[in-house]
Amino acid sequence: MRVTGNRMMELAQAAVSRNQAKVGELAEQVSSGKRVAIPTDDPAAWVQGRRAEMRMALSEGATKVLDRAHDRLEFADGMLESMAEIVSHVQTLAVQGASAGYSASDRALLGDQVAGMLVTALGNANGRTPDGEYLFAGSQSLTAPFDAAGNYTGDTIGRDVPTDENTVVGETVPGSILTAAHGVDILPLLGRISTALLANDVPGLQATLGDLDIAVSQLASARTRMGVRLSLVDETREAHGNLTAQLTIEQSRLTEIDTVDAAGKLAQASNGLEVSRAVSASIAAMLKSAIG
Amino acid sequence: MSNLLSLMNTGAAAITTQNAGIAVASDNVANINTEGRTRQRVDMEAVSGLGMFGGSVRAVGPQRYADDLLAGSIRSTAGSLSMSRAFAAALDVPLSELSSGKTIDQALSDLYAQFQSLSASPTDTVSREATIAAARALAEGIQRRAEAVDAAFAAAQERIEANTSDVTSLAKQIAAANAAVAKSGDPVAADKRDLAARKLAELVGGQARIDPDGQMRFTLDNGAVLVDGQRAAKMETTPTATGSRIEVVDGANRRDVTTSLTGGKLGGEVAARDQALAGARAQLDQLAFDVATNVNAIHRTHAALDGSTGRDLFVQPTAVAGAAKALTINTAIEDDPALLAVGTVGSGPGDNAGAIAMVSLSAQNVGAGGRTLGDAALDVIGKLATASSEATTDAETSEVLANHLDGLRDSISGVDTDEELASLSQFENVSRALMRFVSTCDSLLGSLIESL
Repeated sequence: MRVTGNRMMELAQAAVSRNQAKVGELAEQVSSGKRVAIPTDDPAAWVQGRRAEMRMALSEGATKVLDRAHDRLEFADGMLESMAEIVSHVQTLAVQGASAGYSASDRALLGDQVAGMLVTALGNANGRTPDGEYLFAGSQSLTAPFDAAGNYTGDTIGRDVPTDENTVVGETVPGSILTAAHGVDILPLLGRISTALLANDVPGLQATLGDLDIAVSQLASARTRMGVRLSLVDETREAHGNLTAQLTIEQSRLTEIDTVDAAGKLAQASNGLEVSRAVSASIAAMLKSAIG
Repeated sequence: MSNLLSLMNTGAAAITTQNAGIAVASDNVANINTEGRTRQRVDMEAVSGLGMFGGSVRAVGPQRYADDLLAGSIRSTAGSLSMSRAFAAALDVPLSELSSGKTIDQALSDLYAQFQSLSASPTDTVSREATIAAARALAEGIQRRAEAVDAAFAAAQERIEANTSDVTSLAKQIAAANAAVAKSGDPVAADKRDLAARKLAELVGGQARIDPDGQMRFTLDNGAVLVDGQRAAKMETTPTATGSRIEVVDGANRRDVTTSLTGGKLGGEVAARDQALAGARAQLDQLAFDVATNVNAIHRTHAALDGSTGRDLFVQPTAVAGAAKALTINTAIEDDPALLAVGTVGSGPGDNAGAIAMVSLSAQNVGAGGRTLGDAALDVIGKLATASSEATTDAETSEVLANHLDGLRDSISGVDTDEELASLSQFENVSRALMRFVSTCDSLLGSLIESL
């Protein structure tokens, strides 16, 4: 085929431009670490990468929510543990007070002690989170759920939080677990024991002992439920940690470069550019000498 | 003596002929960098004399080294190449706007994440404000992208109008070149006609053919005639409700060619405007409408902190068309975060059923084409990016073909300095020999006259 001097020069210049563009593209990939920097680099990979990013955002959001749920459940469990200790202590005092060896004044002292414990238990039951919500109020979380007598005024709606689009885990336990709906009204029970002790009402005191047994197992059961929830929250949190890691790897696979491979390609392209420049220069020299 | 005079005439005519060769070779070199230049040559033709002697030579031409079939392939490839390039270029800016900064899918993701966070503390004012800010960012993001797509649409529109006047101008140039070729067979006019036809093909695709009468006819892919011999039609745009109509105007006849422009820069701009950008605009409108409708449906049926219900979070668009640019959030909620409704109606302020419903909305296929809203948002960019990427690949393929065809054209029509210098040297040597011949004849004649 007949090839003119102009054509040779054009082809050589086109080769230089092409190789320059290739080197530029690879250099940008190597320096940024991104294979897909803009959607047109690889539309399908870009969309999949973004989809992974969306799932990652939801998973990271779930981890934060689960951290918070963990803290809340742990806080609530601490309150229940304290109440369980109080009830257990009150049970001991009630058994002592019910024994014949105790005088009225001894019982009055015990009654004062129980009254103090009731105040502490009430404080626990009306415990608040750092952001001001009452832990055991159900959905009525801006109102103290137990009145001074220990009667529950909240509702039975526990709060769940989403761990993904379709799954939730419980974050709160309503104060109804401390009421007759789940055994006995624990706080009023403490009030009745205190009153009986102060009033030296031994038959009345003896009548509460059975309820105290129920209260002890009621709190144990509540704590077990709390433990189960905590464990579920922790497992879910761990699963989200793994999912986030997997999604990060997936996103990286889709949109990032293999540095070693890209560096090799860059070296190849740089060599190609040098060669095409040399060819271009030699064609120019050849044409010049032909005219001379 | 009469024979000697005849020989001198022969020599003189031959020198003139060689000079024509020198002139054409010089002209070739002089125009070596002229766009569209076709190599020319002078053919020599023997001229018979009287009897056995006294013949001479004359120049025929100049002839163009051109291949009309190849020129047609070059025009066709140029049309495909410019269409792909124009299409991809028209999508560059809107794609960049759609995919830079916080994209719509990310803003949507942020909104879901804020509802997720709010679900853990539905009474927290800071969390409520952050959720409202995420909703506002989503609305503004969709609005800004819709404006960017509209701006790209308007820019494509402007380029289409500018290109149509270029089409009219090139059609006139071809008709004028046809007239010059018909009048004198001027090879430069033929070069100019080929160049104008190539530029016209780059603008509109179409086909040009040289008829037996030597005149070029240029038609578009749907058969509309732009140039017929020395008659040129005009190309005009007429505004319509959705953009503009492109028409070929020949006297009183107008022919709508908008949808049949399947090549050239104009074809690329029209495809970008009427398919890709119009599609992206429709997708954004549908997305905005679907976001507002589905989020509002949840929000409306849940209770604010004060127990009130029935409010929309986004101002509900009245129609899909124009929804993206009109998307805003309810100012009452923006002014009072307590009105953000995430509680079950009748429950207390700590209820978060609405926030959970918003999070589960992220997995529901309520978007266009039975996709999630997030996927529908990604699809706006995905479709444009795929179309642009395909056009770039097409352009690369066409470029390879165009380079190959340019090489073929160069092998036939390109001027090579080495060849032309060799020709010059050849003609110069022949001229020198002829001068020696004339000089010999002259001295013979002188001697003859002196001897008489």
